Amino acid sequence: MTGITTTDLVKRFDDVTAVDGVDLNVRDGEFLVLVGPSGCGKSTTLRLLAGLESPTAGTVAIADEDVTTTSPSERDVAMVFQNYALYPHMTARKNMTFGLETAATFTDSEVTERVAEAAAILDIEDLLDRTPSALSGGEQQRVAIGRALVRDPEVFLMDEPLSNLDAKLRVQMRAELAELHEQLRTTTLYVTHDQVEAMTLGDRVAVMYDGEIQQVAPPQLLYDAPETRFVAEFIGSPGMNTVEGTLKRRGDSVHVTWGEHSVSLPSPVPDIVASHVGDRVVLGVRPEDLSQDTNGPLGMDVTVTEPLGESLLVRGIMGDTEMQVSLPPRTAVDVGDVLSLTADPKRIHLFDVETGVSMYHSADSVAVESPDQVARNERRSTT
Amino acid sequence: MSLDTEDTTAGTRERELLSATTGTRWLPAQWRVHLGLIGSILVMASPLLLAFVMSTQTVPEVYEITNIGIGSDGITNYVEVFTTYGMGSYMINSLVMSIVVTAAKISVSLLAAVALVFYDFRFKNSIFFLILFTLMFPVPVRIVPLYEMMAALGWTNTLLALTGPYVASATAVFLLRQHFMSIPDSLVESAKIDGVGPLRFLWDVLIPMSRGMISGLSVITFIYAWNQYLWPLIVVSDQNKQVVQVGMKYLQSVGNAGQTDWGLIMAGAVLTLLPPLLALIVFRGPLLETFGLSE
Repeated sequence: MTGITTTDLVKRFDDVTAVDGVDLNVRDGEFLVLVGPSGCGKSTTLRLLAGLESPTAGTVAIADEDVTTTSPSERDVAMVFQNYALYPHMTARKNMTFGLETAATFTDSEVTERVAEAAAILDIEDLLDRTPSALSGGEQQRVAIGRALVRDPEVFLMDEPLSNLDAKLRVQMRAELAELHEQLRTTTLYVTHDQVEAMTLGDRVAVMYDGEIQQVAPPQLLYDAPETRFVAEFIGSPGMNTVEGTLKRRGDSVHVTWGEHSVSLPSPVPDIVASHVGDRVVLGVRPEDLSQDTNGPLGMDVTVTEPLGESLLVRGIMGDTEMQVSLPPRTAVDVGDVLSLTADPKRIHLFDVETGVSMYHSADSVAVESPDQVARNERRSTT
Repeated sequence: MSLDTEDTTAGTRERELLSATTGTRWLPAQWRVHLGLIGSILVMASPLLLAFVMSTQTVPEVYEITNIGIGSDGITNYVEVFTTYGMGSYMINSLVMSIVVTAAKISVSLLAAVALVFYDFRFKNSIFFLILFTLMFPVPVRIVPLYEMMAALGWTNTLLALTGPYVASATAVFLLRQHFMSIPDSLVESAKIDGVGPLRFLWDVLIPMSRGMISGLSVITFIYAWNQYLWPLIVVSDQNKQVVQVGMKYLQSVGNAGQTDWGLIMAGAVLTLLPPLLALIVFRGPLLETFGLSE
């Protein structure tokens, strides 16, 4: 079992709390992505795991062994950095072997063998005798990953490894990283601010905000059933529309209304929603779950149209809230139009106004929850 | 549309090229600037040129102000300086002193800069400012207490006294510190995760990455040490152990009947000039890099 477990991890820099009580569990062989906006503490969390920072409180365990005070080199982790961190005066080969030579646990022939093996996996055999300045960004990052590979660590820690690459190369390297993990099955913690990277790479994704983990879940569950308003708005491109409204009962059905707009919830409504009738709630609906409907209850003044090719993204104002709608491509919409829209009743989310915690997802698919999430929900209900 | 713009830019480029080639055919386009530059270089180099001319002249020739041709003594002044007046041994003394000072200063400064950049300890910044503060106390300011100290240690007339006061250098620590600070943190962190120790990191990563800075600093230090006059004059009284700059002063007193033999002195001066000049020429590249002047 070579997972990573952190317990109530806290890191304060002077009066700033970067990491605030993080409990994270990366399972053996899992690819877990830690995603969040810049400054949310995700890189600090990674550095705490690597041992480059020491925690203010809490513990870190790798492979069931408490390594909170262990030096970075004794944790058996390998790290890949955003700026590659290759030594500019050494060849690619030397960069890959430099760390191994210090370890002194490998013979020369073993080192050569490992480098050859890693180079073959990453397809960089021809580049081994070049210095970093003679390599492109993508090639440099491959060498950096190769350097991590040759160490054959218990855990890979990756700190935004693709952020310095151009968009096309990033997509390609992303696929290669996924393939590499499929092949090696080494426990990996991957930090990124790019939610697309997070969704595509992660077995599970941990969303972090303001030093705290908001939710840990498989990508699709994260998308379908965000546990907090922040996760809802952060995951997805663009994120979920959220608007504050009042929960009202009208005859048999329950509506969320704001201004002259209203969205009805599918009946029957669960007790948790029924008990909040009359309260303020936050309604969440994804851009692709809104559709054009001439008799629709929602009117939106169009301010921007963004043709994305496979869809048409329309921004506009509904009441006094900005909303985004994803429509089929080539829909005739112009700036200044008023769109009549309706929301898919099976894809409606409600969040608490104060805490932002989710109250209700109307989708049926959400019923299947991961054991992790059940545990978290239990913990939340007890506190 | 886009094709049109491409055509016009290509056209202007061609025209620029054409005008550039026609301009340089007869005279440099900015010949006035070139003339001015040549003139000012001549003015600046004139003391050196005159020194070289005088080093080949006899005493009467030197005193003929208008005579600025190569003199009749030829290389005899040079030979005499070496054989009769022991210039060779002064130069060797200077060389030993300069090399020891350079090597010691760079080693100490490297270690100090590594500590200041890559280690966390209390009062780090205060210590750095304290080091910078020593810039205000160069050797000439401390000369009396320093001499007393050397005398108490019994180091007078030794290489230790000659080199010791120059080993610590705020300038070198400062320049190396600034250079180390430009090295990305991730390189250091990567080394930490790989278990590369601090000395190995210094030797295998920092020094190779700072090669230009170190050679530039070495040249400056070497020339600085080579040019020291006041401290050697005071701390070394044994003429055999004296350095070349002070040795030049001895030459001043050898002329006939109180008349200074300027030819001899200038020959000594030209010889003294050669090692630093050689160092400058050889390490021109890294020196410019050190001060951020190269492109």
